[in-house]
Amino acid sequence: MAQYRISKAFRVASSALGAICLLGGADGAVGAQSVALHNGHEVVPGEILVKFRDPATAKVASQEMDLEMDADRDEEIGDKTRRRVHSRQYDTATLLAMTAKRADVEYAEPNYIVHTFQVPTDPDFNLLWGLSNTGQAIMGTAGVTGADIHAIQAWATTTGSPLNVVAVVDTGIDYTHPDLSQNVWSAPAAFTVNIGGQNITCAAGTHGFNAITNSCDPMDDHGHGTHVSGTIGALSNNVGGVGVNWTASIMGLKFLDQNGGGTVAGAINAIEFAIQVKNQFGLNGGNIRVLSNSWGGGGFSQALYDEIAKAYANDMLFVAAAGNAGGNNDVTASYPSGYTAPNVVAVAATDSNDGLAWFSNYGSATVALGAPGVNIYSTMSQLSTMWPGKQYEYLSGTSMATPHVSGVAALVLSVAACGNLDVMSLKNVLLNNTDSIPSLAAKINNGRRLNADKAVTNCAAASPPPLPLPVPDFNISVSPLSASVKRGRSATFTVTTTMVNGGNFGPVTFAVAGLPNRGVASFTPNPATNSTLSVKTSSKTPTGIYTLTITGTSGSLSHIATVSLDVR
Amino acid sequence: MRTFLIALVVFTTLTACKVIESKPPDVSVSFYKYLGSVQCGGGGESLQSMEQQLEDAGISVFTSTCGTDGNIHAAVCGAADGRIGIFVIPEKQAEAASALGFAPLNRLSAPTEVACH
Repeated sequence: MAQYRISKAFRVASSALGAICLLGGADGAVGAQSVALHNGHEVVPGEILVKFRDPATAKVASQEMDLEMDADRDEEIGDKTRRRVHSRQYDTATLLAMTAKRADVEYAEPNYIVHTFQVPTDPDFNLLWGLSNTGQAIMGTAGVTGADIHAIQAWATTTGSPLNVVAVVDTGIDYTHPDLSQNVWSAPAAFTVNIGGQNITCAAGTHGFNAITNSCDPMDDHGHGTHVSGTIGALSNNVGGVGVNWTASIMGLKFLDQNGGGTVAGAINAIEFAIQVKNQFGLNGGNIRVLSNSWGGGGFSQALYDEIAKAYANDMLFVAAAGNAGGNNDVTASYPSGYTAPNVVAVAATDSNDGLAWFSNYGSATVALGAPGVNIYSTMSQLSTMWPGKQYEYLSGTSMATPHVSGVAALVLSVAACGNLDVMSLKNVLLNNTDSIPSLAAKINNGRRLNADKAVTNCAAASPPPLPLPVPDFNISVSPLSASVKRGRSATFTVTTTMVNGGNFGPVTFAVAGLPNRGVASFTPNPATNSTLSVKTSSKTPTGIYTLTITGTSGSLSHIATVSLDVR
Repeated sequence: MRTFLIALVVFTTLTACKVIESKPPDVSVSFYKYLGSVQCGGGGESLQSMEQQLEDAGISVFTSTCGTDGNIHAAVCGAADGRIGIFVIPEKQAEAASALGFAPLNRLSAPTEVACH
């Protein structure tokens, strides 16, 4: 257990650091324990593995290469035919570029960071067939091995992160539940939202919103929202079960009452709360990226559609249950899963044999994918009026399928290379990395069933193209920016260059244009990194204000600066 | 001939009365009652059974249809599915219908007629 905790803590820290690296646009060395990204994969920063073609000359060649790479570490690994080289200043891509120019290098590659499969030690994990289906019997029904979302394989890549928030739009959340409390969102500071014209101030530590009472307490008096939340992110803590994410940040948005019923107006207010919280806190503790909606009913509402579209504009995925009427949503739309806003993902329920659940709505055009939704074991609110006295419960429905998808969306965002996916890229990652299940082919779009492993493994490919590698460059500045001189006198300017992106760009050759008639300029020294420009005028130099353009050139790089010279 | 004309007038009058009698009066109202069915499991009362319940109480039912309450529900098996029976009855019998657990349809914000299962 201790070993497991240490491992988990390291992984969480690694993911967080990786995300920070990504957010900062960095790919460079950030310390011995840190993680960098190379083509979307976690690597040891500033480190490569190299094999020289000729073992006899490898030692000498490596010494020469170490100088070029500014290596502070170069050691043999394995059978001593390969070397592990770490640079003080260069990132992985730069090091690989250096080796590519060497004829004596057989190959070189990043020192990738790898992880073992992690299986939670929570005692009820075996009940969670949706995460890991080994054919175990659940509620008397045996499953099919592999008819699951491949969570164990996904956890080799990531087990979640608190950086992105999943908002559960539902009956609330039991934020005191021992299997949830540490993964419940808490407001980092007091804040005020305006919902329906009413200012509502919530204290620091608030866990969400109650749209029925317009208060900041989302405690769950029904149980449904707590069950959904457990599937998204129940802790791996040797208690009960575990969620798709072991580490998460779940916000409770209560608009369904203790009987599980609610109104469109309540749903709109709940979503609006999430949007305003995101706009206030953003990456500082309120980056809500996923709205999980395990509810349905009512007809088309333009007002609700508009709010979902607003969530889209705020980069939030809207995951919604397809419904439990066993009907074809292509024929009769079920809302909110039937809204055509781009951020909507409609989810059907599958069973432990990878079949469509008998109750699940479907629609080859309107239902995006299936996910486990039959006999799903998860956390229950200790204040539940519907399932009193239960800490965990089995429930079925597209309600239960939805949080599997919401959870995987959060899991994808926790991958360092994928944390900045926009909402459409995130949706595409979920839908383009699924398993095609023959039994779903006629009912669900492309017969898709959720696959967490494929999603987290391939999400980097959907990321925006990485920023181009920084090119060593320089800036040029001149002081003062203006000078005044009598005819026949001289004015001087100090020209300074500074390195950009750590490059060694070499000396700069300076030139100046725009001199007044009978004016003479000189740079001392030239070429140089810093120089003094002297402009000498004559008694016959025409008076006036002249703009002097100073050009600095180093190889293919060239920059200019301008100053003003007033000849009186 | 006179006898025939009298008979025709009487027949026409009676027929007209019958037509008037079978049309919903201007003062009809729509009432509803939850069927009691649940998501995934169905069940509950049938529309015909509810209609019989009204008629047994002497309440005329002009039309009946299935519907949904238009409310939002948690999408979990075993929870209410919001299905209702909708009945058009004379307004003067509304009180009697209320006594049987039926309620005015206009109390629901957005009820919708749907096909019965």
